[in-house]
Amino acid sequence: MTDVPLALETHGLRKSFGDLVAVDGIDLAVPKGSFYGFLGPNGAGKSTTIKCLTGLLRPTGGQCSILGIDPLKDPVAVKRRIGVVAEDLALFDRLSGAETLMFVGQVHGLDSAHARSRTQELLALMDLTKAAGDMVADYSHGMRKKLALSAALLPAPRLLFLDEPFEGIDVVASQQIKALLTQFVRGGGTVFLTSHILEIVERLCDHIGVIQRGRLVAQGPMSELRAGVGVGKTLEEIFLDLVGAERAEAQGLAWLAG
Amino acid sequence: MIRHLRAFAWLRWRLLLNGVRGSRRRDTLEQVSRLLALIAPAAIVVLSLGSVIALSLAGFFGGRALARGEFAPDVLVMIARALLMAATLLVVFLPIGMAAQTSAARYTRLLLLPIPARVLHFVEVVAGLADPWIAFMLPGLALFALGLVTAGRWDGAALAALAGIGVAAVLVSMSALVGFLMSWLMRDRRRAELVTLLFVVGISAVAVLPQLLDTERRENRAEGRRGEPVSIARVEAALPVWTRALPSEMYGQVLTTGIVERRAGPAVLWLGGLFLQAALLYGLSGVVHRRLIDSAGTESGRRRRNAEVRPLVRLPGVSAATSAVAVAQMMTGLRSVRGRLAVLLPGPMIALVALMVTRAPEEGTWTASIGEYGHLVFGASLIFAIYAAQPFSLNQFTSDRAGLMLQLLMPVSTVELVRGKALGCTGLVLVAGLLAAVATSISTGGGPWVIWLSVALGGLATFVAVTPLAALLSAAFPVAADLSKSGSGGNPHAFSLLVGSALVLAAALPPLVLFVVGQRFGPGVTVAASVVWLVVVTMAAVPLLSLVARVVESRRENLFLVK
Repeated sequence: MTDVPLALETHGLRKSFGDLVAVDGIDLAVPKGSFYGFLGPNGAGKSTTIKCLTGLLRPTGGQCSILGIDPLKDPVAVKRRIGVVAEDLALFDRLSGAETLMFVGQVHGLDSAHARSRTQELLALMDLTKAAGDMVADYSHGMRKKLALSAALLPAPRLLFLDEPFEGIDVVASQQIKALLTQFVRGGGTVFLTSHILEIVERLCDHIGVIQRGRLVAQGPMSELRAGVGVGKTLEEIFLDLVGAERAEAQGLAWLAG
Repeated sequence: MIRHLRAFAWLRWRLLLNGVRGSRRRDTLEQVSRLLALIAPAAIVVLSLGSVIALSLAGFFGGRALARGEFAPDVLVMIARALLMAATLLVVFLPIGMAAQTSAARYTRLLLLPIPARVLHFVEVVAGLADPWIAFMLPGLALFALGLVTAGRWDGAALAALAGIGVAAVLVSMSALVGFLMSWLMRDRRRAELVTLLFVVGISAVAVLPQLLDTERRENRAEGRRGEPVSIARVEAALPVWTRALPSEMYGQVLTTGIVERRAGPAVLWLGGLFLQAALLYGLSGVVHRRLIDSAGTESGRRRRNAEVRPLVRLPGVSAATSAVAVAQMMTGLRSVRGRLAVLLPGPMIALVALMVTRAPEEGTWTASIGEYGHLVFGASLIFAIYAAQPFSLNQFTSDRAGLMLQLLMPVSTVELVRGKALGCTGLVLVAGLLAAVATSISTGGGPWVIWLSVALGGLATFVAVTPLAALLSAAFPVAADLSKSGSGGNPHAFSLLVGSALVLAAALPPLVLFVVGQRFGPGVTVAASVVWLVVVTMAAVPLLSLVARVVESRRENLFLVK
């Protein structure tokens, strides 16, 4: 794995809020051109990790390199090469969908004609053309998610960070997005994705990292993970093994049985 | 029922306490910020306690004085009527104002609870007794009856107590009716923003229009006549017939007929009217409440706008990123209620006030010749515009938190971010200033354009001069703001407001001095001096903004985490 060029690499990445250690010295290695699924239970530190990597939070310790650049030293250079769908979606409520994408295009230095044609293509792909002039405040959750993904894709990034991109998305749009992301990876792009929908992760991702209580408990190609933890097991079973599923069986609510 | 009442009382109490306590603070500056923000609510609590005690004492001694005939009974009853009239007005207008200022209650959560709709309605109405503008009156009403008891007027005390209960029932039902109606109106975002805008503009106009339309007083002044002195008889005569249906008037009638005139029949009739009104309002509020909860969770269809993809305006002389941030700041600002108010109110309001003053001139006073000083009226409206833009200029980074997050994820350097925000805020002030120029020139008749130009340059220089410190205050004391509301929820931090307001006054002094001195040498010199001052402050502001960017850089995480 060390011989493979890496799109994203961290060493001892750490983030704490006072006494609370959200990310506890993780070493990520995401190969270029891979579809990397970053899994973990609620509160494990997935979103905090993404926020540290994308510059929204300042890591308390450790180093990281994104596409060969240190995001702490040159954050703008990193942001020129990445696209992010954040947990909170990060969209201006009072810009229209089209204006949001034109804003992203201008910030990335695209000329008007390019930004416009890409905006039109993305809006069409995401089935947002009719709502292009509506304010984002009036969009449904699914529409916002599709717009956030469009904003992430518009500058043609080399690395995509997607925090729960399929949550709240309908089946048709989900199919389109999956096809689009697969095409993106085939073209040499890298996707770093978190999702609770393990079936999707299993189908799309070729590499997996599992975080539990801020620590990376497993990482590697999907095939190696299966070989190491249990051949024939589904990703859900592997995941539950890794994060300690026995708790769920032990803690039954007796009064619920009637 | 009691169980539900207890649960709702606890809920209100916890929400109040948690609101005061706030969320976990991350650094010392945020702790200081939180403490400073608590000063105003603490002062209000202290002042409110004083008001409750004063009203209670006034009620007790008023009741006793009425029973003993120690004071003119019609004056005492008039005081009670006036106080209850004030409470009635508050009951009607505060829920409207508060709906325009804060987020409407979310009923979806409550509807998931196993509580029948009629119980929920009753609990919501009764909870209105805890609203300060009603709660303040209750001890006074109760102690008024007690005052009558201590003077031996048991019959009068019983009537006063029943009338007090009746008036309280009317007030809570009325408050609930208006509150539910506003919550229902506010359910739709666009409808809510329109109501808010109309409310604020309407209230501002209502405050000024009576002065404009008061021809009698103007004629009296012009002819040197003095108006008749105010008396109870004159007030009674001036009150329209419909005001007799107001709860304050009905309460007054119960006191007058039952206690002062000792006529039981009419008193009981007025009392019955009061309770009938309460029942009607309660029933009506139930209908609106039902409508409100039936529409919970529904959303109106989106209005289709022009779906054409247009390029963003590209500002010259700055980087693409700075331009994009500035344009986004200005566009999102102008599309918010606070932004529209900041643009729409200053010029027209000051213009209306100027018109009012010029229409009521008194000989030998400055007001008679205000038309000749239209440029000063314009200057005042520019200062007002700068103040009105403070929700943006003093809270640049977190007034649109989601937008800030997108900007933090984009390849925008902190210097570009800070400059873009400053430019965007300047754009807002420029739009407001342009409208102010038009409105004040119409109302005052204009004047030499050269003088107006120097005032405009002075106003712009004032805003530019405070820009770096405004950015610094925005970074040091960020607050999550809801700019779709007109109230304190959209305000910057109280400390920023205090310091920022003082800074604006200080920054307005140099251009004012230059203007006054320049006038001695002619309008050309005044314009030249204003241009030079604008260049000087701009040259100082640009590097200062770069310095502020360093502070913003160190506080990026705090800005991102503001909730």
